[in-house]
Amino acid sequence: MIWPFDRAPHPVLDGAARARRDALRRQHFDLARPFDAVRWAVVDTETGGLDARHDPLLAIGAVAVEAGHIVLGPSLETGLRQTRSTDAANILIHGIGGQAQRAGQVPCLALLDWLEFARESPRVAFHAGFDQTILQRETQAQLGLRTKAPWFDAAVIAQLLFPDAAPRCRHLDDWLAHFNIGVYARHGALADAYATAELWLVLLAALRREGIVTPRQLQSLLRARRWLIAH
Amino acid sequence: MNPTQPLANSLHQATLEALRRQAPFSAMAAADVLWLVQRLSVAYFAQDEALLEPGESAPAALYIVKQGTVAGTTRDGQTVFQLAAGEMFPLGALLAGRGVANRYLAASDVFCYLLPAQDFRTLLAQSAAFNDFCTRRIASLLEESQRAVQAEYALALDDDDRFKRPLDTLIRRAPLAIAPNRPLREALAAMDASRAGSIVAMDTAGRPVGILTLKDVLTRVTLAEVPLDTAVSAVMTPQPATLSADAAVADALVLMARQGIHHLPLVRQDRLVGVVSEKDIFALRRLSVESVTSALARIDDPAHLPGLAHDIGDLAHNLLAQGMDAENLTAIISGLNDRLTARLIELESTRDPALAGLSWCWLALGSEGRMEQTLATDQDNALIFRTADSDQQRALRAFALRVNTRLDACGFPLCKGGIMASNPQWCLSAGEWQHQFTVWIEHGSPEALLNASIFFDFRPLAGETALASDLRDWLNRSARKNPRFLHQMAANALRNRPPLGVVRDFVLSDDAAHPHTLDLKLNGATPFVDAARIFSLAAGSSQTNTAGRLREAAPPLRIPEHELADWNRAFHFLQLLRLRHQHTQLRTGRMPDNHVDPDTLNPLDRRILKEALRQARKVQARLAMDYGL
Repeated sequence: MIWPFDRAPHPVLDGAARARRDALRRQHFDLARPFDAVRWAVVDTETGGLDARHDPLLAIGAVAVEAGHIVLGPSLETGLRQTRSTDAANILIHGIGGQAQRAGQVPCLALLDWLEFARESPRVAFHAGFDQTILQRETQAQLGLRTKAPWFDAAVIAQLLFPDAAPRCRHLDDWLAHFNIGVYARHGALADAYATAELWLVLLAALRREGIVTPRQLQSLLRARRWLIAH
Repeated sequence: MNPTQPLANSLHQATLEALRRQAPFSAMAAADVLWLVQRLSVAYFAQDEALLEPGESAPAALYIVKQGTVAGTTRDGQTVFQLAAGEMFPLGALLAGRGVANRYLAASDVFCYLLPAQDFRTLLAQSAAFNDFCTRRIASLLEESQRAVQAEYALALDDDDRFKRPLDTLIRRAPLAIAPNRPLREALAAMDASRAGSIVAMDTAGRPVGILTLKDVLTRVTLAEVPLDTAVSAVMTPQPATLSADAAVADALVLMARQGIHHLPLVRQDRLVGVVSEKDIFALRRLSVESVTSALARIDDPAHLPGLAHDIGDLAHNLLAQGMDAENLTAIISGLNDRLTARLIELESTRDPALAGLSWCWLALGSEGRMEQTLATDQDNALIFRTADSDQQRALRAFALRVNTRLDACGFPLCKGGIMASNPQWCLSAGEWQHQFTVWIEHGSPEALLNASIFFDFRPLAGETALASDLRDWLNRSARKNPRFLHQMAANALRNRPPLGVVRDFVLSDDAAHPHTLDLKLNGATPFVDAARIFSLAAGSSQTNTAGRLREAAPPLRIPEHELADWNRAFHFLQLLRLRHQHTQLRTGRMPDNHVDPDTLNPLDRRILKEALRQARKVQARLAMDYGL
């Protein structure tokens, strides 16, 4: 029996897009490799507001960290075509004008680009919960795809490793200032992803000094910390 | 996004703009910088972390400091230079394909852009502005080259690594070998002559079939009273243990200890290439200029001088290995050879009653006269005396012959052209020399000009130096009175053009004996030497050393300071290349020469060689201008 009201309207994908989507269904995330052998996808998103469940996704920027180095060449910068522009207030924050917003890519293709760039790499973001939620939401909405990629939050890890600085550091800019990291172009998704990646290099070095050398060990550490906070 | 570069995103654009605020990126085409940006990665180094360690392998990437300070330090931790944002390293090591000389340390937290070495080379070929920036200044390049050489040898000399080195680094000379059927007498004489502790019996294919050491001689020959006509094969140790020349020093020690032997023939594809002794390994003697000098002063038997000559050679090797520059090194080699020769002349002349009361002076000619001896030097010498009857002249020549023969035993081969003090043609009175010089100056034939180029570099070495300085004064006056002669000398010098190619980098020899090579002496150093001689004759200077001549002649001839400095640097680089080339040849048991295949040089040295030859052309251009040629 067909029950027409139960399912969200499925996106209409053409053949090529469907093939790309299907190729992404089976992914394997190896978290046991040492940091130097891990490829990280460091990402930042721009949205039409601060509500990850409802506000529109405007742009995705991402860079990869491979063998401990940020790779500049293949990096991702994509805008998502909007059916209508968001509030003028947000345009001021992000600097993406109404025209640029509407001129972006078809959302499903932008998301495919992102997923293909990220591949089987663990994801890293600053305040990762927000980016994870919105990207997973849109991935499911646009592609009908559920991803189970592991996410790491640079904000949480920075607090954990540098508890003395943590009270003064809430935003990405605070941590960049704390580590004296100069970033030349800010407030674009890609520029923020790049700034996060520089912070990530510093955090990886600090983790190594603590004897943590694989994403899996890092995961356990974060779990233990959550358990400590909860109890 | 830039529509002409569809792949450039905002990060590429921002990086490009940041880079283009500094040299050399500011001078490069945007497309080239973008090409670079898209191949960069960014690395982070916490304070005190090492970015690069001195080593043998060439660096994998070019580093551009993005943020923070990088310090270059020596082995013992001293900071020699600091690099700030925008600076690139290690250019010299990358260009030369050598390991870095210094340790690169993060002096603060550092972010660096990294460009893979392969992309660095592509960019060099692609962007003239980038290439120019990386390879432009010959002075700084030389510094880099010198630092790299120093590092290379420092590694080789490092005591910690001593036992890991390949055995062929210990080979100082060609192995002493003999056919097994030759008589013992011959073998022992050869061992004595070259002061070797062993001799290898070698078959016609060059394979070692036996060895005879001094210790064996005592037990198997002397005590056993074996006649010296006996064949070497009767007393030698047959089938001796050998090692590949590429094996580590440690392997040799193990083998020696296990078999209780002290000498080990080294082979390459079964052929003998050298011999190492336990002494070579353990007693890498610490030679110094001072120890050799004082040993020379103590020696009172000329028969012991060849040993010291060998020490001078070893010392030169060590100094070269420590990265000493060519000007000082050739001056030290010449200085010590001077002392050795002077001591030899002193010993030979004081013993000879026939010389009593005679006034004479030993003249060093050619490269020795200029104090520019390399590791491969024939003897060129002559004698001047005030007055002597025919018996006394005969006595002078007999004395000179003894000196020439002893010098030959010391490793200064007899001059093939017979330019030696024992030759009656070159053992002349002051008046005869003036006459001879006048003939050359007035005649101007090719032979006269060639002789002038050898003899006019004379320098007194022993005896009455006033005889030489009077002759010098006289020569300067006559040469200046004969502008035609200087003109001919200049024309002759210009016939020898530096072998720079229009299409390829270098014009190489088509000589069958040395195919695909450059003669660093004839085509490299000689243009400087010839020009300096003419400049100094024209300026009336009594200097004989090329750099010294150029320095003295520059003010009167109005040669600009910076040109002079470039000429001298170029000349000394050529001399250094010759020394390094000969050093390698001697170490691998070959006869030293001046024929270098430019393809065997690393890209940095090849680039400097090209620049040095260009300087040689400039010197010639100046000569041509001065003499309207």
